[in-house]
Amino acid sequence: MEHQRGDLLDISGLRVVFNTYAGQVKALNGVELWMNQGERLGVVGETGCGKSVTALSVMRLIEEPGEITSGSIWFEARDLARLSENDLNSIRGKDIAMIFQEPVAALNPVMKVGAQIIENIECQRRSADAGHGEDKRAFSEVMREMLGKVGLDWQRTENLYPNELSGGMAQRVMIAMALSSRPKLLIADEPTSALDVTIQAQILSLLNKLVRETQTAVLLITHAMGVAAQFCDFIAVMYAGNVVEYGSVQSIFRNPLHPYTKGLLNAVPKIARTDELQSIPGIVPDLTAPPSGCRFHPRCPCRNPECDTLEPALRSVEAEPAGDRHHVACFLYQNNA
Amino acid sequence: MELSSFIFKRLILMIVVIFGVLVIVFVVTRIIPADPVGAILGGNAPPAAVDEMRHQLGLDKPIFSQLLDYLGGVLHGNFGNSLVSNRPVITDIMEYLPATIELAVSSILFAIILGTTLGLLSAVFRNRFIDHFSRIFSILGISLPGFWLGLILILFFYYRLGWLPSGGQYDMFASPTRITGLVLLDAIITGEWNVLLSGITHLILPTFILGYASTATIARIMRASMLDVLHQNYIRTARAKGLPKKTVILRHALRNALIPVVTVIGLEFGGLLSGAVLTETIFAWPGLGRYIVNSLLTLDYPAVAGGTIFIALIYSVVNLVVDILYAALDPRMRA
Amino acid sequence: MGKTSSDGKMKGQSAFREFLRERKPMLDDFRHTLYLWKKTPLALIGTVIICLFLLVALFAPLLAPYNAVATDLSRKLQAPSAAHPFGLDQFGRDVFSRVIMGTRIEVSIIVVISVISIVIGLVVGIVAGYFGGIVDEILMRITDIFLAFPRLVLAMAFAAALRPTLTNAIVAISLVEWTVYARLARAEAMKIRSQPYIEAIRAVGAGNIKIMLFHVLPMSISPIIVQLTMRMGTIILTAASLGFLGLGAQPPLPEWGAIVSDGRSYLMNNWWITAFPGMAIAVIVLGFNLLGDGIRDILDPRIRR
Repeated sequence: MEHQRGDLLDISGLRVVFNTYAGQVKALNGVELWMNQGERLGVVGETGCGKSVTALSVMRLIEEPGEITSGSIWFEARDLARLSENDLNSIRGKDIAMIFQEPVAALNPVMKVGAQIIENIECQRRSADAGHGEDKRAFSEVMREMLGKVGLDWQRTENLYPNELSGGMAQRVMIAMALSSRPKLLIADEPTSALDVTIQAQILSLLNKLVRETQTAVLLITHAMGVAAQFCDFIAVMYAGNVVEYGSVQSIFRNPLHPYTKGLLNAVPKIARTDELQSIPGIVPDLTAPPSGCRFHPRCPCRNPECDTLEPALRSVEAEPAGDRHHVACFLYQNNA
Repeated sequence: MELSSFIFKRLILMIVVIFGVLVIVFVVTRIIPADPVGAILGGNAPPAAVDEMRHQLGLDKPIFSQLLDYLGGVLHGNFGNSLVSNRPVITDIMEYLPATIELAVSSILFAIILGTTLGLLSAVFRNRFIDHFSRIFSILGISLPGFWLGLILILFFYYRLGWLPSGGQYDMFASPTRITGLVLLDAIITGEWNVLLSGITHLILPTFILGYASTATIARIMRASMLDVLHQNYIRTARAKGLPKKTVILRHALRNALIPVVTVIGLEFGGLLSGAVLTETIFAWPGLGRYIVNSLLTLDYPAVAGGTIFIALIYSVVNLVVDILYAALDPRMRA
Repeated sequence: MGKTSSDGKMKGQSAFREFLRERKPMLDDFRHTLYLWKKTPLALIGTVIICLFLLVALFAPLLAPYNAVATDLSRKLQAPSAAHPFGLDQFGRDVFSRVIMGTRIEVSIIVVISVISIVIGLVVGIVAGYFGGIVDEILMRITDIFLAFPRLVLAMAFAAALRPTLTNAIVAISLVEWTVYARLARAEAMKIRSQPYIEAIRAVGAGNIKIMLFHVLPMSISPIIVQLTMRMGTIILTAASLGFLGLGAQPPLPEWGAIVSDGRSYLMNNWWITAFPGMAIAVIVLGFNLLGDGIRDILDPRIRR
C-alpha cells in the first residue's frame, strides 16, 4: 500500500526514541517520506526537528540509547527496518552511501585517506564478486580516478592523513568514497553546514555534476531552505519529529500550506523587503514531553479545536502547478475534521 | 616535527635527568647515618685502622670531590664495591639483572595481552557478563596489595594444593647452564627441557602477582579509550560503508583506542620495577629488586646506590622508547 | 532600641539572602553534584566504606576488645574463634584488636602524606607555572628527576636513608608523591597567568605573591583534591609495602603491612596473621578506588549534561 509511493525509498510510520538520563526523547513521531529513482529530496527544518535522525535511520545507523520502535523503511523491494546486520551491510556503502556534516571528524585519523577510499571499493567488489580476482592495483586505480573526479590531485592527496586536510578537501574525499560504489541513493547529512560559504557553493556544484552523471538519487538534509530549493526536486519540511509538508520545490515555494512552512519562508530575510523580520512565536518543544495532538499546535496561529487531541496525517492536496506532488499534515486542509 | 629530531630532543633530556639521578642517589646514600667503616671493621677496631679504612673508601675527602669521584667512576661502570659481598657492585648487578628482566618482561607481556583483551571485550560487550567480570577483576587488581595476594596464593597453591613452587627461579635439582642469565632462554638454547619446565612453573605465580595490577590498569584504560572511540564520527562512517562489525572494531576502533594505552605502558613498566621489589622478596626471586631490599636492610650503601641508579636507568630508557613509539603510532603527534 | 535591633536583624537577614543569591549558581552546581553522587552506586559504596573506616579509627580504643600490644606467650598462635575473630599471633596478641588499632595509623599516614605532598606540590607547581621561563625549566627538570625513579624504589631509598621508622616512611612517600600535584598546580598556574584579569590586577599594583596566593591557589585546589582522592589507594599501598619490607613502622606498632610481614613465617599453619590485616588493606583501598571512580564519572562532562 504505502509501498507504492516511491519506487526507490519509502519510509512509513517511522518512530524513533532515545532513552536518556533526562527521560525518553520521542525524536521521530511517525515520519512519512518517499522518493523515486534518480530524484532529489531535500529534508529541511530547524535544529532538533529530527532530520538527521531520519537520515541515520535509513541505514539503521542509530545506536544506543536510540532505537527504532516502529515503522518500515522500504528500499526498492526490501524493508530495511527488518533486515539482519549482514544483509544491511550488503546495502550500506554500496546501494546506499552516506556523507556527513563534519568531514574531517568523519575520517579515521590514523589511516591514510587513499587507504580509506580503497577500503570502500574492496568491500563493494568483494560482496559483488564471489572470487578474489581483483588486484590491489585495480582498486588503487579506481580510487585515483575518483579523487580526480572530485577535483583533487591524487598524487598529493592519497597519502595524506585526515588532520592534514581542509574541510573542503575532506568533504571531497568523503564524496569520492561514497560515490566510488555508484550507489543508487546518496544520503547527505548537512554536507556543507560546517564549511565556509564559498566552499559550500563549490561542494554543492560538484555534487550536482557527479550525481547527474550517474543518475544517483540524493536525500539531502539541510537547515537552509535556499540550498534545498536550488539543489533538489522535492522538499520535505519537518517539525518536531514529523514531516508536516512534502512536495515539489515549485509547489511548496509558490503555495506553502502548513502554517509552519509559511512561517519558515516568511522568516527568510530578503533584500527587497523593508518590513520587520517575522519569526515564529514560541520555542521548539521538549521532546521528552511533546505536545499532544499536532506537535505544532502551541505555536500555530490557525489553531482548531481538534489540533491538540488528534495527530494530523500527511494527505495529498492540489499542487501548483497542477500534477506536482504536494502533501500536508494539517487539519486546515482535511475535509473530514 | 620530524621523528628524528623528536628522538634527539628526548635523548638529551634523558641524559640531563640521569645526571640529576646520579646526584640525588649520591646525596641520599651519604645521609645514611650508619658508619660503613664500623660495618666493615667491627665496633672495636683501633682508630688508626678506622682512619686507614676511611681513607681507602675516600670518606675523608670533601663531599664535593667525593661526588666527582663517584660520577667519574660511574661513567666507567664502576659503582664501587659491595660492603657485603666485597665484589664490585656492577658485578653483583649484572648477576641479578637477568632474573628481574625475565620476570618484568613476562609480566608486562601478560599484562598487555590480558589487559587489552579484557578492555576490548569489556567495551564491545558493554554491560554484559564479560564487562562486569572484567571491571570487578580490574578494580580488585588495583586494590589488593600485591605482597599480600602473593602470600595468599602461595598458601593455596603451594601449602594446600602443592601445584606450584613457593619460590626461587628454578628447582634445586635443575641446574641451568648460564648463557644470558635468562633461565628460559638459556634452557631453550641448550635444550635442557627439564630446566625449561622448572623455570616456567616457577615463573607462573610471580608473573601473575607482578602483572595483575598492570593488567587491571591497562584493562581500565583500554575500556575507557575504546568506549570513547566507538562514539566517534569516523566509526559511524565505517559502519555506513557497510564494513562487517569485526573489521570496524579491529581496524578502525582498536588502532585509535590503543594510543592512550601505549602511553600508559611506559608508566606501568615503572610500576613493575617497583612491584618487582616486593614480588622478588616474597618469591625469593634472585633479581635486582631483592638485591636492593637486602642491601637496604644491611646498609650496603654502594649496592643501594648502584641498584637504584640502574633501575632508574632502565625506567628512563623504557619511557623514551614508549614516547617514540607513541609519536610513531599517532601521526597527529608528529605535526 | 528595639527598633535598631530589629532593623539590624532585618539587615542581617537580607544581607544573608543577598549572599545566597549571589552564590546561587554555585549552590545549584553543588546540589546537582550531590544528586549525581547519590545516583552513582560506585561513589556511594566507596563513601560508605571510607566513612566506616574513619569511624573505626575515631573510636578504635573503644572498639578493640583487647590490648593491641600486650603479649601473652602462653596463648600464642590460636586459630580464629568467637572470642578472637582474627585469631592470636605469635606473641599471643589479638589480631582483631591490632587491626582495629591499625586504622589509626593508616589515617595518620594518609593525612600527613597528603598535607606534606600537597604543600610541596603546590609551591613547586605554582611557582613554576606562574613565573615560567628558566624557573619553570629548572623546577620541571627537578620534577623529572624525581619521576625518573619508580615510585616505591625511591620511597624505599629515602626511607632507608632516614632510618626506618613510621615517620620517616611518611616523609619518604611524601617526597615522592609531590610531583603529581606539582604538575597539576603548574598547569593551573599557566592557565590563569595568561588570563586578562590578572593583567588588570597587576596594573592596580598587586604583587606576585598576592596573585599566587589569592588567585592561582584557590583555582588549583579543586583538581588537586580530586587527584588526591584518586591516588589515595596507591598511597596506602605504598605505605603498607614499606611496612611489609620493614622500612616503615617498627614493631610493636600494629601497622597493617608490618603485621602481614610478621605472619609470613607462620603462613603455612597460622595463616590468619597474614590474611586479615591484608584484607583490611584491600577493603580500604577498594573503598578509595570506588570513590575515585565515582568522582571521575560524576565530573565527566558528558554525564554531567
